[in-house]
Amino acid sequence: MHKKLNTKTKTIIHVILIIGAVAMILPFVWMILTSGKTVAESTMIPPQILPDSFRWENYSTVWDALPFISFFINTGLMIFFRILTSTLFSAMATFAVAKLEFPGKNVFFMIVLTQMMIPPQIFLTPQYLLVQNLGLLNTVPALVIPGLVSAFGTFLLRQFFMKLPDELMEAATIDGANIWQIFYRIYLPLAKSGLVSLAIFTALFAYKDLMWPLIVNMSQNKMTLSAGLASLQGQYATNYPELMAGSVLAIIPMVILYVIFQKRFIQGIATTGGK
Amino acid sequence: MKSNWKKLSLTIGLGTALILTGCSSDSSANEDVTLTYSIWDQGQAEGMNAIADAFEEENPTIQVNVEVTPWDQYWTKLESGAQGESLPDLFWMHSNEFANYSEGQILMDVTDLADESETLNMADFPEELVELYTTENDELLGVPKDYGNIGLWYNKTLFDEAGLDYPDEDWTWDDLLENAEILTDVENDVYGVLAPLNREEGYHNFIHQNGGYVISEDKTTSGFREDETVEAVQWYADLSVEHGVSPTVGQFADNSNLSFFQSGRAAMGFFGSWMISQLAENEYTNENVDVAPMPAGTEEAVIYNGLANSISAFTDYPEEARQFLEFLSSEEAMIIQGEYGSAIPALSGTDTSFLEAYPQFNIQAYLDQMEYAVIKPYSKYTARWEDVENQALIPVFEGEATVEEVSETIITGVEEVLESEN
Amino acid sequence: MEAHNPQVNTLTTKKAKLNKKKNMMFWGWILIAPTLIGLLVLNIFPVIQTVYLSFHSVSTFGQSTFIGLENYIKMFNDADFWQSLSNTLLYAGIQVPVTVVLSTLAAVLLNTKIKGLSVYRTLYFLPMIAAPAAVAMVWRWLFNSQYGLINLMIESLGFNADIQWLSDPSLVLWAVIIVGVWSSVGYNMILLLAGLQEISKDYYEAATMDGASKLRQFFQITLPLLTPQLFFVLVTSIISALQVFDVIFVMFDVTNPSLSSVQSLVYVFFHESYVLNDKGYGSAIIIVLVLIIMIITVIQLLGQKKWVNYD
Repeated sequence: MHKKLNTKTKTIIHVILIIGAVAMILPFVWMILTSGKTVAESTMIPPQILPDSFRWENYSTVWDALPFISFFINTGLMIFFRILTSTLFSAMATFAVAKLEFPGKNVFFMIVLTQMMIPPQIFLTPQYLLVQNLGLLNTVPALVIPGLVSAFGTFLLRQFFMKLPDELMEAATIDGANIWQIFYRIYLPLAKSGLVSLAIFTALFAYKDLMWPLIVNMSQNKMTLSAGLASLQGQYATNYPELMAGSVLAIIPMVILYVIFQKRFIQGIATTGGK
Repeated sequence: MKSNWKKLSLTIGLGTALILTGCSSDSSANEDVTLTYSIWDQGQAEGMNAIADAFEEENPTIQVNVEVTPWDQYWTKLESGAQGESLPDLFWMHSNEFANYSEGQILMDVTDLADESETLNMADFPEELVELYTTENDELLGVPKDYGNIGLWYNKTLFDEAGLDYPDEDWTWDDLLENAEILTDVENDVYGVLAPLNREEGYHNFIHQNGGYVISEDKTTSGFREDETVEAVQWYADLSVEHGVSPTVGQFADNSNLSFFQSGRAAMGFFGSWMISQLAENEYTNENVDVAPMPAGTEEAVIYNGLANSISAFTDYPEEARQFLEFLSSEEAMIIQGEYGSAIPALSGTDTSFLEAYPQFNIQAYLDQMEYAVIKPYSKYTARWEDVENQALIPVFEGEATVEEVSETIITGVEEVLESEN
Repeated sequence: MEAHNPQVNTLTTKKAKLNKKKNMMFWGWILIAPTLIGLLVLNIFPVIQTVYLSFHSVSTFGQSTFIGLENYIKMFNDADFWQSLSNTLLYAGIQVPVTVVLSTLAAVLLNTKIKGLSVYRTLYFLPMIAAPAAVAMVWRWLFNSQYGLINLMIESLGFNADIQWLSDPSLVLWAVIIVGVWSSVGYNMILLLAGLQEISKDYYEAATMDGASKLRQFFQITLPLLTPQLFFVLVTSIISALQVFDVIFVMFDVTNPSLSSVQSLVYVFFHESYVLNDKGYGSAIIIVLVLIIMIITVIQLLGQKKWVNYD
């Protein structure tokens, strides 16, 4: 199958793949084109493809109309703290499960697996009530709370820790290191690629989450990009150029991260499946 | 468990409060206080901030943070805030929700403020609005902030092209329909008038123009028992269903009435005064449209409503909050509100300041209509019976039923809600 | 060297072993503690609480009263609930197979030695990293019956293009399905591609020598060896399809008369719990969804032996 593909087959494959690629990026192209139009240009019948001249004012208008800086900061803080706590805690738990023998560890791992099986909406209302009782509605900690720990992370990292040899543990014990030191100094650095994968996942899911930030943080200056963008629609329902400019602003940070860490993204995802 | 938590947090809270007041007792006059003022309209944020700035200048020890929460989440936020007794110090109140809040004892009674204040006099506000925010026990739980009603907007360019005269205060339903028929150009997707399934900016006005009503004054029966009401809603729905001079309910799902109007695809539309800023911001409508009073049926009528500023019953700074409320209701703040084009100020004599914000439009039409304006129908659970009405009328606007046929459903559903209020 | 006193030696090693065991237990529990406590507080306890809430009426201001099965009875008599259940199942029933077929096709085509692999991969994955609100908004605009690009393209192909994607009750769900397929093909393709790349070339070389056609190789080698990944993709796709919410929430206004033809169970859950503030009823709805998802998943896990090849 991998060997000689004749040119004709290759051309057919390319044609199919290009059609797919066009379908994938067309919405983004349309988003960018619309973001540079006037309202009049965007509502021509039949639709006008290109703006006469690209209207950057749409960007400054929407930037002024909404607290985008707060959106970026809130999203950034949420992602930062979720990555910090969930990767550290998951790595600790995974190390214990993979390298230590102690009673209760199987029960713990069962809890991890159970959590992964249950659709997250069932946690939502109690988590909301918890945040409310703590008086944390409309704060950054409210955004972080559901992501403090991660069953998925514990599961994902297991594959990386399992691959690391047990002998390291014994060698270090003889050298007089305690278990925390063994974990922190020896295993943690070796699991780096797993940690990076988990961090990427955490960032992506936190960034895409819509319902949680929508219900806990209702004040505009406490919203994330995702939720803030959704609220933009309610206010500017008719002004698609500005809505699209807002959308472009909201997706740019992730696109930049994706371009930089592309390999990590793809490897990270490939490791989650199938085995 | 929960009560323990409450006790604990109460103790901690009290402790902290004691420590704080203890520490600052000698300097309490200089202590800075920050009030949160919650609103739902981003478009008014600028005006509200300007008012806050003016207030801060006069009261350097008090800071006011204006906090915007989109309408969809505004009430959820207040409700959950009320549970944790952590509401913003001041916030906007709306007639649809007022009953919930007055019953829940969430709002501070400011009757004494109005009695004692030198500047605040409730007689200077539209009577019906004051009544709206006053409970049966004569507690005043909010001071009117603004009022708004509905205007007939028209596209001057389309009227000019068709060689027709612009709508004026003498217009009737017949004029509306005749002109709409001439102006409709289905080939080019241009419609004479925009008649979506809207209440406040739509058929509720027509019900009153036809001598009907939405709910009875004693808030026990539905107006759909009256022929005038049924007839008016049918006439309004027929603009799209029968005459095709308005887009259909399906088309409005894709593109709002504002979108049709802003893209020059409709000659007329009904828009509330709170939409003016959006019409002014859009280049096309800013240049090509203007506003006239609503057309008359058997009588002249228009729906109006008004927001109020209310204080949370749980505020930590009742004195400062009352000071700010007094300022919000003062002539100075009302004029700022008008000049920024936020909304038509509720204080009598200050509403003309709103005219200056939009010299390009004939805003006077909104002010003149107050002569015969009818307050937006409300009861305790307004949103619930509005929903009943809306659901039942969808098939009518889809052309699959007549108002006559669904009126029984509306009467039963609405009156059930009204009955549950007592 | 120290073998002259064997008794003492075994004693100390025993002691050391016991200490080591204690030490391990201590550290084991310390290390899992944050995650364990977090999962108990944030996940396990909430499940119990949701079940509890579903038997209660929760008032606007937080009081809850036990009402037995009333929420469930209300649900079974609620036409909106049944409609949203059927919408959800129909959505999953179409979106998942289409996504799996298209992502398999893309993965197989990309697993050939052609140029531009990484470019294609980057582009196909792009929808996955965009904020769902942005995605739904641009699609809403693309589907617009008057100004939308999609109707324009259909028209330019010579068809009647007056298609009301966002308001015709028989089409609205299809609009959501299209967006759903579009946003998940790239993700699944990457999972499948990873599986394909693990398949040893020897199989194909042997088959080619036997004169098997490419098509036959695909069905006899590629597909069977890809079943573990296909199984994973299928299970996760069904779970996430049954939870569809974001796109519907952003593409359809509450005032849209066709909303009932498109709203999913999670949408109704959200609406009841956080817009109408009936958290008891919302909890009952979400419990039904969770049960459905668990049942489907268990059936798949049991059925996998029949077709999944784990060698």
